[in-house]
Amino acid sequence: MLKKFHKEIEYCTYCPKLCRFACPVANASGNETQTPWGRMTLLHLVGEGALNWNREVSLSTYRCTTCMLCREYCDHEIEVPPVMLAAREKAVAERMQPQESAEFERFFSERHNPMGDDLAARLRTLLPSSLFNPDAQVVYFPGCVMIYNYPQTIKNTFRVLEAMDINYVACYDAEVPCCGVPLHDQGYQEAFTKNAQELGRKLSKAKVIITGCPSCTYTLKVQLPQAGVQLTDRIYHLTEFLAPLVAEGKLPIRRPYAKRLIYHDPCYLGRYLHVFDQPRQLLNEVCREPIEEFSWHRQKSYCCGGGGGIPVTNPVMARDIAQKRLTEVHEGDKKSLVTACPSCMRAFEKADDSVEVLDVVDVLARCI
Amino acid sequence: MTRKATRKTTNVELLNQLRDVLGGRRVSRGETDRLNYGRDLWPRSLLEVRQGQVPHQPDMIVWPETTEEVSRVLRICNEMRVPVVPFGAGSGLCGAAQPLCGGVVLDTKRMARIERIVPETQMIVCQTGIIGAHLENELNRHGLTMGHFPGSFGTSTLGGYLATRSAGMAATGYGKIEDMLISMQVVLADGSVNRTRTAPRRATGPDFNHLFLGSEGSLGVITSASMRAHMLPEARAYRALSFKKMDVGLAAVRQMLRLGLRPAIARLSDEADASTTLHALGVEAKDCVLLLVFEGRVARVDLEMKKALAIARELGGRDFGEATAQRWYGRRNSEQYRQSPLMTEEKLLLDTVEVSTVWSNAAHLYTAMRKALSKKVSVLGVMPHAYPEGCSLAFTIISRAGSADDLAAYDAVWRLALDAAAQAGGALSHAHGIGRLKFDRLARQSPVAVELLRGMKRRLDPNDILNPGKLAPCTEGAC
Amino acid sequence: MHIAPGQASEKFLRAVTKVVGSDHLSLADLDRLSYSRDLNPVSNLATNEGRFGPMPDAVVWPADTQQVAQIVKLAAEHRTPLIPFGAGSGVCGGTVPLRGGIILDLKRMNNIIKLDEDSLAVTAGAGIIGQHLEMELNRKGYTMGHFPSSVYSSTLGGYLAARSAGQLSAKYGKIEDMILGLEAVLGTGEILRTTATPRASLGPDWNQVLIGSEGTLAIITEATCRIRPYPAERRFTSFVFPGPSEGTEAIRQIMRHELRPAAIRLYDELDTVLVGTSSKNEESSESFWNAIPISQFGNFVKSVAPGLIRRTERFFGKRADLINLLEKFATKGCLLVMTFEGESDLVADEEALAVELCEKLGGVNHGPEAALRWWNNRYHVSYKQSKVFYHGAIVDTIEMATTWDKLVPLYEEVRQAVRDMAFIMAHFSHAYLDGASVYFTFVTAAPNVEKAEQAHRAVWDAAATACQRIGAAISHHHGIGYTKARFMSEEHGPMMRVYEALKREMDPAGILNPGKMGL
Repeated sequence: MLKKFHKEIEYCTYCPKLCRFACPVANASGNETQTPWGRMTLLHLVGEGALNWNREVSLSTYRCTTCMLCREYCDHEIEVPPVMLAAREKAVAERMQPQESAEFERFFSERHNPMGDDLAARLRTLLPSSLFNPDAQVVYFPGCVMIYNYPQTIKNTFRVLEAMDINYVACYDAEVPCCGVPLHDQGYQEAFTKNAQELGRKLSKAKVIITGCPSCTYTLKVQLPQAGVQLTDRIYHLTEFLAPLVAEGKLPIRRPYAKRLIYHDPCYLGRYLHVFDQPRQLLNEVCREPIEEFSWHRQKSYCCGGGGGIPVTNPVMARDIAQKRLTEVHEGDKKSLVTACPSCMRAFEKADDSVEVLDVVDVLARCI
Repeated sequence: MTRKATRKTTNVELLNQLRDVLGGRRVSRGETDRLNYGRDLWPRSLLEVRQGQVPHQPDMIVWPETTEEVSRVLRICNEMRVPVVPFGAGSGLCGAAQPLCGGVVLDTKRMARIERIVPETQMIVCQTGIIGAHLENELNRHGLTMGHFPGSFGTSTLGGYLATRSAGMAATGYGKIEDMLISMQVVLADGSVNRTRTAPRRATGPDFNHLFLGSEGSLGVITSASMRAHMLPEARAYRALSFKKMDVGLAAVRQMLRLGLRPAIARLSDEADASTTLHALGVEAKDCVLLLVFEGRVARVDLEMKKALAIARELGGRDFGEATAQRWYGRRNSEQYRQSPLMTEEKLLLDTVEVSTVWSNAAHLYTAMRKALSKKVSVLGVMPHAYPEGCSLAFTIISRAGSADDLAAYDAVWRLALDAAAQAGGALSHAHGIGRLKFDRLARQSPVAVELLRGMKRRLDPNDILNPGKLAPCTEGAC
Repeated sequence: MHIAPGQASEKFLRAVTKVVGSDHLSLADLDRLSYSRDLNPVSNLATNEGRFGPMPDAVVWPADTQQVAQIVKLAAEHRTPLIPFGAGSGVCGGTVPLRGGIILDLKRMNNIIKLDEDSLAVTAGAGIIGQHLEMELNRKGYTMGHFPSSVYSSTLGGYLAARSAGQLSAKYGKIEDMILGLEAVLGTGEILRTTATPRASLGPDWNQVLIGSEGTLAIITEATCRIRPYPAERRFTSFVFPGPSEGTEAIRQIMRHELRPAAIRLYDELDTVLVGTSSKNEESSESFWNAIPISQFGNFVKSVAPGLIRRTERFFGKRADLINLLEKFATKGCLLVMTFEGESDLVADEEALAVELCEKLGGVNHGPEAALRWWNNRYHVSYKQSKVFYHGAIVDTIEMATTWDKLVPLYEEVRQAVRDMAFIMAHFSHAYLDGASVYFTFVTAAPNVEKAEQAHRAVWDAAATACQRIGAAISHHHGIGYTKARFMSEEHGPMMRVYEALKREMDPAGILNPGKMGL
């Protein structure tokens, strides 16, 4: 499983660790092992037979948020996350994954989502039943995190669409509510594939899928095909969908948004899906003050600590990473954080409840 | 000097005491951690890890977060005679951070707080575990820069800079780490907390900073420092110039500095280095190439560049223009990424021999070292840092790896290199430091100074717990 | 006058004579007398009264490093103190032989050993007088750029041992910036040689440990220092600022823009009045010394013996009326003088920006005259101190350094602490990116030498307390010697133990300049 990453593993082992200052896990822990270099070195030593693949080694591969900041500082453009994910698959196969992950997987397999809730039912209470059309060609996929934690954002999404006279977007019924990324990220490829297949059946009719969650977008667009499940190729994040329409003036702005905002590029929206401008365009359309930027922004945006299964397997580290990201929010004038990913929002809220966290569409909703 | 015998360092008592101070999460005995803390970036270690070997591992790793915690940890280890190796980000190139006698690695990276930035005095006070790139980012946000850019910038700490006496790429313009240091806080082996005082300058006896600067973890653990920063430059100008011969290029740089010009960077590559470096940029070069970067006020930058070009022209230098130099600058750290593909795909090992000398000896040192090294390895030569009185010279050496006698061959090349440097009157290291790699040669070259260092070591660390085995060999069984 | 015989053993003196030859060892009382003091004001006072402090047992003039090494070994063996001596211009009693012993005068070791023009480096014996070295360099088109006001009467070894800084240090650096390599004899007799190189990473920098050790750790015998081409041009300019805060802010801005004036000095209001901002091209420093008011001594002077009042009045003259005049002029502002030197166009560029910055901060351009006047008279002030001592008063300087945010508070607090005890004025100079030094000159008088010494000590204690409370350095470039040794433990805190460790390591027999530096 790891043999196909032989080159990456060797390269990182011999490299003078130039990416480590960007790795959020390295920064939060201060531990050499928890750097891209450290993790890859271990895999090299395993490959050389000098180290047994054991629980400790496997645990080290779980300490990666998959944010891809390491690639940004690698001349060879090596991507460490795929190697980590492959290692996690091996860990699962040999039952050496973290205890928390094993528990999580059991939970998920019982409930088909990380929350253990009847998310479909929840969703139905949020929106009028007319929005749930199984034959719809344009479908909004909320994602499990959104349904469970940010129902208001889902409502806001449809309020905004309605205000823009966009009435052809239906809502996915969420009977298979999760895109499966938590399974994929923790090495449960088989379970992920099964989940993906079910999703494939449920979403087969959709010609356009819009989601409010970048991980869902990326998973549906890239990971599902890799698992052999091909949906439509027109899968967008909500901001990609809305931005050109708002630019055409279709959003009826009743009052501009007056409070200061700082925008956080989610890793999966930015580095994975290359969507940087659209959220900014949307915000600048409706905000009175220009949007503030973090010093690590756009392509180099810093991670919230919410990806790669870290909140499950390493919750303390997840919180440390989020807190580090939030230091700039506390500097200067009081401001709220706006982003376009419910996992980021959740990560920030858990780390620091003194910061107001909003989704882009929440801001839009306050202006119509 | 042999270290006194220690009790078994993995004993539970030590572990419990350390956990009392730091909590369970900031003490590790894990195998994966011990492996990763067994090496820094000494290329010799790459030869070992290639074969799956990490021969020098610590028994445990600790992550203190305050000077107080460092003090308590050292007191415990001193009493129990347990070795302690202070550790920044492990980017040293000479093996100084390798734990030769097991013991505890004291990783400072969780001690990375910026205490304050005083814009009025352009001073920053911070804990030493902070990574250089993070420190610089923070300074930039206040319109300041440290001006300290070693190649390891993203993977080295302030403490590491101070302990190894580092100098960055822009040392010609901004100075070396000792020029940037105002004062420091250092914990000695017995746990006592000492500090040097903050003042722009004092005549109150010896400069104690300089005892700990360059001490490479053997005299104390530097936990916090006050550093001075500069205003971010308004403008930056780039130029590449070619010279037919290395000594002409050296003369050109010498004259520029003599005139009072202060480029941030004046980096002269010999033919071999120039063709390799520029080839990577898609430019063909046959001659020596000088890369000049001036930064500062717009008017001053223009003025100095004009004067520099006049000097170059007078010596027959050909103006390569701005674009190539700017592109090189944008990719100035890319050289370090070459180690991995060379090692993985071609079984070649990259290393750097870097020395310094006065101008009157520079051409001779360059020629002598090149000649000596070329007998055994491929050599790319650069003059990376220039000063009014002299310069540093760096030789990238490329040797074969992947055979049974890798380590012996490596050691032989370095013996040759250091002998050549010493015989040609060069200082054995400009900025990379000593570590395991150069200590023996230094001891032969400067016996009085080394004895002085060992003597101070005995006084400040009588139980020889701080980074043992570096200033004197560990005798087997004594660890 | 009775001079007690020396304490050194016959055996030791014979052995040393064998090393240097009888022509180069003196037991003569008059020699011992001459070498018993440096330029510290307390010694001057004592001399005024015909008193002498502790004396050496002998004075020795070694020819070379080998002789120095042999003498050191002998001294260690015989436990005889050894005091390295340049030209005795220190103001802190650094060479006073508190415990007797041998004065080792290095002035025979005064050769220029090598001038390496390409490397802008000169190697010379430690005993060379600063001005001699400078003149030799000038002849070849170079300068050392190191101009303490004692340059005519101090040596290279003294600079290094005392960690000196000259008046042009903002451009040329301080002595520790100038060192490339040195040779020194440790207290064990071993010879330490550091490689002459602009920069190396070879562990601790022993140059920087020895520099400033004032003869307590080693005897510096030879040094390689950097030099610079003699400047093509030198330009002068002066400004007047409303007060010290505005003036020091101008200096700070100039430094933070990476300008390197050769000299930049700001005089406080009082000093400005006395120095004069007018365009008269005369020696204005005369007027200073004739115009010191006695107003601050008011009650103090009245309480002294009538004889002394007469003496004091003679010194202060009938110029008491100037007190009022002075107070009237006290709002004249602070004078800033600057000089730039080097390549013409580089100098013009720097000066233009400096002028712009000064103007932006409310400085009034007074042209070059005041600065030129300072330049022409910059060594003359030292001659004036004789007059003060002649009239029974004592003059001394306190020079401290701190960061910009604390500079004016330091100035104000020290003045406040001292104002009832002495007449004090100050200037700011030796500027850096992060701060500068403030240089106080104070004058005080007392009915007799003992009381003068007490008064002197009281002023220092008050100033030092203020200084250390603020966190400034107790000495910027004059050093410690023995007169400030009592402040060392507060200055360095626990780091004194490291100094003590260095001492024990480098001078196990404890013979090198004992009783100094708080050791």
